[in-house]
Parts: sequence; structure tokens; C-alpha cells
Amino acid sequence: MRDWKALVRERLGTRGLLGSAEEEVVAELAAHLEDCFVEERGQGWSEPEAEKRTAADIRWRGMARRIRAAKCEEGEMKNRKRTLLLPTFANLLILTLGIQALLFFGIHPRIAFAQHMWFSFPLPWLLALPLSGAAGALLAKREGASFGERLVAGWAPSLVWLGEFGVMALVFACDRRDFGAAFPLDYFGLTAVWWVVLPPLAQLVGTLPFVWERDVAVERF
Amino acid sequence: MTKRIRSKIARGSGELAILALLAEQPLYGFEIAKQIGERTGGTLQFTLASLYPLLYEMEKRGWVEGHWQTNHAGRDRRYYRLTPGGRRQLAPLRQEWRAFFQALDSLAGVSHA
Repeated sequence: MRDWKALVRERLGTRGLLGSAEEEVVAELAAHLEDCFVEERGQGWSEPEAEKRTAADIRWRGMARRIRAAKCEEGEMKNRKRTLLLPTFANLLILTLGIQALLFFGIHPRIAFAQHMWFSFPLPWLLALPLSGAAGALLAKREGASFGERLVAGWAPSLVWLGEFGVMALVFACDRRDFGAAFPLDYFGLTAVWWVVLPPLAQLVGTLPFVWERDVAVERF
Repeated sequence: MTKRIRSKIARGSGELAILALLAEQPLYGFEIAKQIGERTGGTLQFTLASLYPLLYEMEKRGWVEGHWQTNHAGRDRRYYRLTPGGRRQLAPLRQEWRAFFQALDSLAGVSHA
């Protein structure tokens, strides 16, 4: 018969994060799987088939997250630090290093002329975003983060920049109004494409593979 | 119905189901899931992933407490029993759900559906 404790330890992926409660949780979940297995065998399934049926349809990642929240003495805040704040910080750090590396290798922002105006095209930023997004989402996933947390951890720089751009546009619009000048919608529209629309898309390329859970199953209750 | 509301209903009904079962006798996780499935004709079913986080949350709130004990098959299992705090939760929870179903019945006639 399969080593159910080893299976639980591997799939739960808590790696000591539950502290003193970890062994007890692993033993209890393994005992449950063992009982399921015995029941499946009692229904006439072969040993391999019974093992497969026992371990099927278990949403390990979501379960690990909820167990950690219930068992960890440090509480929800500490959990959030691990699943959201640290991956987000890693994302920003890798992005910064990535941009510096690209600049070092001679990949610089491009200046483009369109609609009778000059625009800067943030090439290093766009190239570094998929990598940093992937790193943020991967780290969040490894810590058992929820779908939303993984998305935010992967998308953080783009979200921050979106907010900054919004504030800048607002300040600029107010400033122009004070001087009675029209808001240059075409200029802001094109700049927004480079700085607000393309970056989240670029970052999504790196983030997406780590956002979806592979072990998603129907939770029946 | 939004996912959040569905999830709250599921969790609330899960808590009530577990408290009601444990009010009768101490049980371990597998037995809890099995009895709920059997006694509701399969309408309510707990999976491993839905049962244990809920049990641990209830334990953290002080409604149930677990202890290791050997079962009838000679295997060590973690049995849960209701605490006095859990027992106090049972009556208001029952009342809440009764009111919920009465309200739904008067609105949508669900009891005759």
C-alpha cells in the first residue's frame, strides 16, 4: 500500500510552515486517505485503481492555504506576508535588476515620432516584465497563494505604474485647465498604450502559467 | 448567486452539520464525512480539502477539540468532540438556518419544490 504520509507531505507542500502541528496534520490527512483507500478496495477496485481514486480530485493548494491559516499561530498577516508581500517584493527586485542588465547590454528605451509628437518607448521595461511577473507569480504559487494573490504578485509593477500614471494624468489635466489649455488626449492616449496597456500584457505573459492551479478539482461542499 | 455567498452558505451549513453530528458522539474526520454523506443521501458531501480546514478552523475557535484514539479497526485516528463552546453555538446556528429556510420558503416555496 502507498505511503500516504509521504503523499500528503509532498502535495501539501507546507515544508514545516505549520510548526509543531505539521506532523499531526500530515498523520491525520494520511489516515483519512488510508480509510478512503480501504473503502475503495472494499468496493472491489484493484489496488492501483483504488489508490488513484483515493488521491483524485483533491484541491491540495487551496486546502494547504486554509489549513495554514487555521493552524499557524502567527495568523493571517504572516501568511499574507509569505503569499503576497515577499513575492511582490521579489517581482520588483527582479524587474529592477532585469532593466539594469538590459541597459548594461545596450538595450535602451527607444524614441518614436508619431502624431507629430515624440514618445519614449520603454523597451527594457517591457522586456523585463514577463520575467519578473513569472518570478512573482511562481513564488506566490509555491507559498500556496490564492488565485488573486498570485495575479497581484505577478502584476504588481504594472498595477503600481497604472496608479502612478492615473495620478500623473489627473495632475496634468488639472494643470492644463488652470492655464486654459486643452488636454492633449492623443498624446496621453498613445503614451498610455506604451506605459499602461502594453506592460500588463507583457507581464501577463510571464504570470499566466503560474496563476492557474493544475490540481483544481470540484469541491463538493 | 455569487461565489462569495455560495461559499458562505456552504461553510455555514458545513459547520452546522459537523456540530450536529458531534453533539451525538465523538467522531474522526473520515467518519464525519461518511456520516454526513450517508445521512443526507449524498446531497451534502465533504471532500478531504473541504473537511479538514473547516475542522481546524472550528478547533481554533474552540468549538471542537481533537484527540488521538485507537478506532475499532485498531488504527490511530484523531477523534473530534464538541466543547461546551461548540455546544452553545449549535442552538443559535440551528435557529439561523431555520429562519433562513423559512424565509426562502416564503419567497420561493422551496420546501414544496
